[in-house]
Amino acid sequence: MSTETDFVALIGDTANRFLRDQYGFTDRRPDDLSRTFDRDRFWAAFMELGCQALLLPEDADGAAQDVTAALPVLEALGQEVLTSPFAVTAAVAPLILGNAEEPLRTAILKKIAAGLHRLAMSAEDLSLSPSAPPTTLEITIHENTIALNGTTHMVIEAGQASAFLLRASRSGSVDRFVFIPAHTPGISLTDYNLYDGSSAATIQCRDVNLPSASMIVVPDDMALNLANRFALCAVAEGLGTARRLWSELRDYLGLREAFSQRLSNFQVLRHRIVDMVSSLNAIEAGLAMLVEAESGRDDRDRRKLIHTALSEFRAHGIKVGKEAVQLHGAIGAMQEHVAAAGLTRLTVLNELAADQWGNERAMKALLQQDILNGTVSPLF
Amino acid sequence: MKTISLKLNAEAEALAAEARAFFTTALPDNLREQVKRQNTTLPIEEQKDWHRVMDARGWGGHGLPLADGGPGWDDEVYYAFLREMALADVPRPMLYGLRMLAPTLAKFGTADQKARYLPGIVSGDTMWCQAFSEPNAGSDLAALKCKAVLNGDHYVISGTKIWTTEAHVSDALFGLFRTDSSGRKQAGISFLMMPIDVPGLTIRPLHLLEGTHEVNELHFDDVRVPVIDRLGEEGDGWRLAKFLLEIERLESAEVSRSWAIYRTITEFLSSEAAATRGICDDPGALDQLSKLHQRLVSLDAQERLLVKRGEAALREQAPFLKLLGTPLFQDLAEFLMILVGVPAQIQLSEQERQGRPVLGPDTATFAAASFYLKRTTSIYGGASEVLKDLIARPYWRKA
Repeated sequence: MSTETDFVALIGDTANRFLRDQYGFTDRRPDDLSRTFDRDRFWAAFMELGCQALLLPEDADGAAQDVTAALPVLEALGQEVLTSPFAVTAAVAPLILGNAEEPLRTAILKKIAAGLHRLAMSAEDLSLSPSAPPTTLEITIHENTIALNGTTHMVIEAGQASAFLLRASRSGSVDRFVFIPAHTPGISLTDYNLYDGSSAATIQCRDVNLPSASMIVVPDDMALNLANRFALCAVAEGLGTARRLWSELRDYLGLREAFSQRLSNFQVLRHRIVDMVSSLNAIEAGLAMLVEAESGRDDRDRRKLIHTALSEFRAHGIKVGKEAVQLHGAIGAMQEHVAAAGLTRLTVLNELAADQWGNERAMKALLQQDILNGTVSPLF
Repeated sequence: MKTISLKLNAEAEALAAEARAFFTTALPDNLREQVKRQNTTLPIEEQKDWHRVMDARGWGGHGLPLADGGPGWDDEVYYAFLREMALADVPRPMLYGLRMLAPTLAKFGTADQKARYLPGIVSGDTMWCQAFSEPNAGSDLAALKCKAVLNGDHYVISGTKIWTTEAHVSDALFGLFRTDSSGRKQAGISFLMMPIDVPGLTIRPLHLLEGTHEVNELHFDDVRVPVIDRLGEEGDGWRLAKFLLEIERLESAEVSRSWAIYRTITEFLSSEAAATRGICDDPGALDQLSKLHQRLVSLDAQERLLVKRGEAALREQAPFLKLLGTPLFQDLAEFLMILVGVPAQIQLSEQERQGRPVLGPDTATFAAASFYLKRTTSIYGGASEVLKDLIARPYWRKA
């Protein structure tokens, strides 16, 4: 279902209005910068809209929609340049949790649907080309329990989370994910602030003991599925931010004067704002590629679509951010300004979703293989 | 949020498969090879013969409604058909008659005009050209001056048209002519049709930078055209021209033709000639190829999204496709030329090529010609700079 239904439209509109009216960028920004923004209150209020249940299965009180249903919500968050645990909790983690044993599976998913969970995952587990230091989290399996030891880096919004979903390895075995309540003894967090106002932590586990059911065995293609889904969330949110920056800039150029002329009368600026629309179109096309990649293509094609979408997001998302700052002039480089906030958010989203060198290297290898095999064809 | 799906409907997928199979068997190898070699001046009789083959299959009037002799496809099916044509190296359909004039005739023509002109377009028997641009009216088309003065039941035309593609091989032309100079320049323009051998019309060849004779200069010296061959009302030509120019929105970015060049590039990269030059697995070549591939896939997705979103989205956004598509088309051709190296700069016509040893790879015989010829793609149909101005206009229009 990729065409908007009334239900999805309603949720999207509701989220959009709620975020704009109650957590709009301009009103919220001073609290962001003074780090007094009440994230708990925001999350609790946001969860009352029910967006977090959109993609969850019906037996877990979810709406069982496909991933496109979450796109308007993600875009609305992006419009207000608002970081949140929504993508990981409501769109990414459920891919793994669907493989958990019962009754844990239903219990966790129902808690997400009710807005009682905020989950955090490592960017390293969500990208096909991680740039963070490698995870060393190891799992030891006992009769009814497991033990975790080691370190995981770049766990997004870990400080706000009620639980973590981390990949752990065991020698001679495939990787598993482990569901870890945040206050489990043996866990310590080192939290870092990122430039966009979000945070990420290094999590250290020392003899963390959990029931065996906390360990979730996932299918072989889970890494690809996670990268696909997380990229989709990042690009959808980034599209919202990029669109906001464009419309703010257009308004500014229409009002501001220099040399006794409105800036919008300068042809060079008019052309640059047209180029920015081309960039918005390219980001949206990337989003469409990521939706397509979720719909059952073979792995090679999926990888090509993901790499291409992320490269386009990199090129055009950051371009829109840089243009928004440049064409606003010095005011756009101020921390209070939406152009500055948008550029940092777009950059961080890009880095979390992909290490660009690794992304491009992987794509080139796929293309080279196509040439050698004589299997060059359009992707759709 | 509008649809974000790239999947075509079932009818379009089925037609694509059918067309693919048909083109594989029905298209003569000679023609396929010439298109693959980017030859834009195919012998006209071969083009017409091929169009007749398509017409026999029921696709002569593709893009037209059922009532006007076409198959009556929706945008998605039509898009799928055009894409398969491009990917199979099928010659471009006769653009000005079938793709531009026919839909305009279908919408604005009289019953008599439709009966006289549409069958020849659908069958491929009548080749049309378009006379819009003038020496001082290209991007600023409304500034045209070529005069048509009403004299009884005829218009008498005098003046010059330029950049008229394929006029020298066409059977008929349609064009815009100034019938009134008293008001604003968009008013007082009328749309007239005439046979190419009408007395008083002379055609002078213009050669593009790589030597191709594709465009012409037309001189009208008291050319008489009956009033019954005016399309629409007198003075309504500007509206008709806008309609006509907006029709050609599906292929303005040449996305599928770009995929065909991309494939030629990859074939070259896996060839012995590339191995000899040591560029098969050269990281720099692969890097450039990857960047071009990225742009191509993105543009492909953008075009398909617009097709899925329908008529209004296509009309509004088509200029963006052209803005991105034409430089990409040019960059692909340039990349191919650079890969081939200096042998690509040897200029040989199709005739001269026969019986001569080819220096360098076979690709060398068309790589540079293609690069030079593609310089025009970002000029015709609205130069990129003009397009940007037009696109930007509504951004600051008062609500």
